[in-house]
Amino acid sequence: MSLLLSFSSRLFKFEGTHMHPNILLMCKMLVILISAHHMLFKISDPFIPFIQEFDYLNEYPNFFKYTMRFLYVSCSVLLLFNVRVKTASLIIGLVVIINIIASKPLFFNHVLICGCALFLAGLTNNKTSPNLLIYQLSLVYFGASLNKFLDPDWWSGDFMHNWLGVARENGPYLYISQYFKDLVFAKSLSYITMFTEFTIAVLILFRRTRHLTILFIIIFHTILFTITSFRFGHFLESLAIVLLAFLSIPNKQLAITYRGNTVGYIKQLFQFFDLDKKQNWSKSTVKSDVWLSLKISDNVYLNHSALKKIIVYTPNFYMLLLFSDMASYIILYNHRTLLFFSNVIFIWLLIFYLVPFKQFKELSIPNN
Amino acid sequence: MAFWISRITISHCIGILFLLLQLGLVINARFAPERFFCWAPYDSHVQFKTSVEINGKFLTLEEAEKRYKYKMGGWEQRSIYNIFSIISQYEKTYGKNDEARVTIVYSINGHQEKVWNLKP
Repeated sequence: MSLLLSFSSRLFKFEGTHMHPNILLMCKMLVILISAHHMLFKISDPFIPFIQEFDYLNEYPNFFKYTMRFLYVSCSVLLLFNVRVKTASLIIGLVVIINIIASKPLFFNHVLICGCALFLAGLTNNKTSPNLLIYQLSLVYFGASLNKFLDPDWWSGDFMHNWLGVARENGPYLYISQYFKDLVFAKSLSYITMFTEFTIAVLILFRRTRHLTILFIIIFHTILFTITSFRFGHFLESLAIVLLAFLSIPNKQLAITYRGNTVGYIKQLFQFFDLDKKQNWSKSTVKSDVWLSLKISDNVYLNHSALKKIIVYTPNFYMLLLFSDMASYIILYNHRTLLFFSNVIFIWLLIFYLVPFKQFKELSIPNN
Repeated sequence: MAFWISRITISHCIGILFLLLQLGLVINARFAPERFFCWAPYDSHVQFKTSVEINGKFLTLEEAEKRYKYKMGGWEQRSIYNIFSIISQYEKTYGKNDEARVTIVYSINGHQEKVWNLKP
């Protein structure tokens, strides 16, 4: 029984494999996400394939379908429970991509991005930075911006007006656009989108501008979601998960000192989440204004700075977010407006709390 | 330079080739109307209506969607040429003996309606 419990707890462990913990976290979350969107049942025999030779496989009905489904399920189990994670991720990515190539009607960018990220994650290791995933993200934004730049409807505002004003009858868009003539508001939104995507594609390639670009991506897509109430399939979730590739979880232990009973509850919560046992919590008896301190290598973070770092460096926090999002979708399925507002409020609160807008004013002191 | 070359593994080479292939597909999309594999999500918004006639009998919307395993009316957030591609390929292969006549009336990004026909 304890063996089974120990094995099943691996689902929430991310250390000690051949992948960076953040990359493993990304892969697990992507697999959970696409599985929740019925990926398994979307795997089928070739149907109108991109490469017509796939049609020959239809001479053996169900062979392709069950082989791919078997690979998907078995590799998902291996990945989720930290067994041969690189190989498992690589194969799941391939299954997703091949399934799309084998069936044209199954082509969706939000599924393809998951397949590509899983495939490339399988090619990375825990010794070098995940450059392949960085290039992939740059390519996604480059492709998106290039296509928009060369489409006259993006310059004239026709796309934006038709999408937001006509197809979606978006309230905020219709309200604001009535004050502008000649689709000026639609054009503005189009130009902002095109140039933002292109800027992201370029700036993400450089180490110096990468962190700022990630903040830019998060805020850009959250604004887009706030305006449109649209997730573009599961593209927004997929993208948010792929951004975990840029999260640098420290190799070393997190030495945390806390004071007071309230923080004691926070400690219990994070210890529950910290299945990798990376956090060393100790209680301080010294009376001071510091209720929480975190020491990572040579840096010490205090109070809210410390709490933010602890949250960001706790992989299961992201798992909790994903499961909460899925649960809220199921619970509020018939209350879409409530679901949308709760999502928007929660995301913005999270951004305003976690994103280091005031990083230079933050209470962070060097150890020495 | 030698240091970086020594760090390049087969895995990296495969990854780079994979990304170059995607880049090639992004460039290729400039020369084709379809928007597959070129990272152009939700770049056009098309309202369309399909009518499918098989051996003189018109299919209902459900029957048409079952035939092509794709939606056959309403709003499409991708290039309409993707749908033309799906229908054309189906009728040239699985449905080549069905004498299918397919008509799609569509409007891209709110522009004037156009008609696309597939005849046997």
